[in-house]
Amino acid sequence: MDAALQAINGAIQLIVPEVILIATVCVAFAISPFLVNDRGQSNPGLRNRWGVIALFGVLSAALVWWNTPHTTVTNGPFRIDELVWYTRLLTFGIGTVLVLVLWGQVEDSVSGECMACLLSILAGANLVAAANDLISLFLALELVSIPTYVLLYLPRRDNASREATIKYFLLSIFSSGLMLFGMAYLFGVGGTTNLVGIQAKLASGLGDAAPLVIVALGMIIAGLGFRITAVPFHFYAPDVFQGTAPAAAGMLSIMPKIVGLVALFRIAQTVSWFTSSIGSTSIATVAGLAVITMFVGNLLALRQRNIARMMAYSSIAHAGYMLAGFAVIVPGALANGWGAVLFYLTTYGFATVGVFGILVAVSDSRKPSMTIDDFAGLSKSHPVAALLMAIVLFGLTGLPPTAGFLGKLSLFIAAWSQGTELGPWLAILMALNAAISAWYYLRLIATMYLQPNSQLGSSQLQVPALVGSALCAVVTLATFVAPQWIWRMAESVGKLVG
Amino acid sequence: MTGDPLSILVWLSAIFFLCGFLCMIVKRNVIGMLIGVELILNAANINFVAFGQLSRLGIDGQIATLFVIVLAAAEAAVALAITLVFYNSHSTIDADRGESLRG
Repeated sequence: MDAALQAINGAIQLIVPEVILIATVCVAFAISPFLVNDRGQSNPGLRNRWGVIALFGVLSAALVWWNTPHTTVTNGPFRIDELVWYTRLLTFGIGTVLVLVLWGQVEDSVSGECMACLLSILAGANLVAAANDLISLFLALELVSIPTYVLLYLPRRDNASREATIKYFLLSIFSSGLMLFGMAYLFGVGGTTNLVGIQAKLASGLGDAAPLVIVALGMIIAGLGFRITAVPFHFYAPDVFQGTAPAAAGMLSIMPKIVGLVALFRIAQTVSWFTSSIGSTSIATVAGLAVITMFVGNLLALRQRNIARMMAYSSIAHAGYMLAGFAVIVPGALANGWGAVLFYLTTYGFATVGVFGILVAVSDSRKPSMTIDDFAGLSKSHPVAALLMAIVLFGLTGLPPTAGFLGKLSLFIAAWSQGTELGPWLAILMALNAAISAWYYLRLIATMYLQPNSQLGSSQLQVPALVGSALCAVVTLATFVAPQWIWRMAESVGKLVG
Repeated sequence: MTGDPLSILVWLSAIFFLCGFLCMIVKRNVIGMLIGVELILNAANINFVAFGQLSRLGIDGQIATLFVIVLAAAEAAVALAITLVFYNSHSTIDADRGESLRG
């Protein structure tokens, strides 16, 4: 009995940053209902207090994480390794920006709940990386998706937002069901819920259980494909991005992708995807999904006038690049696909959240949905916002001097040097798609700088969102100048393959 | 493949899964689709319990099922809240009746 208690206490110490986040969430959920009067109103300025508290929660969790030594633990309910370290780097960095972006977008009366939902999404993303058990992996995934439903609805409560929430909710819960069913088969084959245990069992030979493993993998890839917005599981994305508030859409463009890719990697590790014979069919599936996703995302983005829909298709296209990187993971390779995917997640994440931050900063509460034409002449009315927008759009295009260029380059090199016939083809298709995507990103920059008559000139800039976008732009530029630090971290995670 | 209790349970859960899947595709009513998802989750639960008797500890399948049941309740709570709000504005709970998002 004592040994079991000690094991549980020891496991809690591995996830102290997440415990801090969840504690902040509990405080927010417990207190905020009492700060609202009978008519659903509250003191003006309440959102500033909750914003500060949320920021404090994220930063103190990040401080604890920063001071923990790098350790590797593979037994017990949580697995702590380099991947967890890197995921925390991503979620705390992007989470800080997301708090700033969400700050000005929420009404005072619901600000506590919105911030709490955002923080539980961040904690869930870290726990997905740390999960060493089918149960904890599934619960961590749901810790991301249930708050997401609430966050999609609360900041903007109109008909479009209701419709977006219900669409996202139905598809998300359906994908969770598919994945859980796949996990149940994996449990049946492995004989334990522990991922390391399943890996050991599967490595000792599949026997006649191979069809079950293939069905399980298919369902898990489909379930996670919804989160990554891989085609053909992408169709909700444009509607949801358009219908929800830009800050929530910004969260939706990056957090589910981090979660989906990390969970896919953990499952791939469990079934020894990169070394066994099951891997070759899975890799072909992922490569096929990647190619369709890239082309559908970029080609459909070309004809969008609504900026949120355009960004939705852009996020689909970027999911395609990352899946292509995932398909070229080779154990022991010098330029590793997994390291490149994680580096790309960082460069893409800051760039896309930066775009949504500018959308929030210049948005007009009377006109929640924005088209590209609304941005005409932004460089005259809000020169700083236009400059930041141009930097992060350069990052999404993949042009120097931004980190997006290095992200695309590392994916390209990883694919080119992968060693099979598949790699160079994926690299060429990726380069072709990057060229297509330049058209719609640069068109937006041209609209901002070359066209007169500003529509957004009269609106007041929202300062926290602008600060968040400025942070994104700084990270995007700084990572181009000095990529070594992040790249070395991503590379050391890439060594986990094998 | 037939005869022993384990394979009967696994086939039963596969049938439940199929029912839930079809329900999800055919129904347009949000509550109906929710019932389909619950069927899928419970199909997975049957699998967890059925395979649980083969596991080393013997209880991890049951524990997983308990977690999934609690989680399904949480999902249903959020789902019904969203559905109620949708009904208040659209006076219907058909998921494809929303008209504001097209493009």
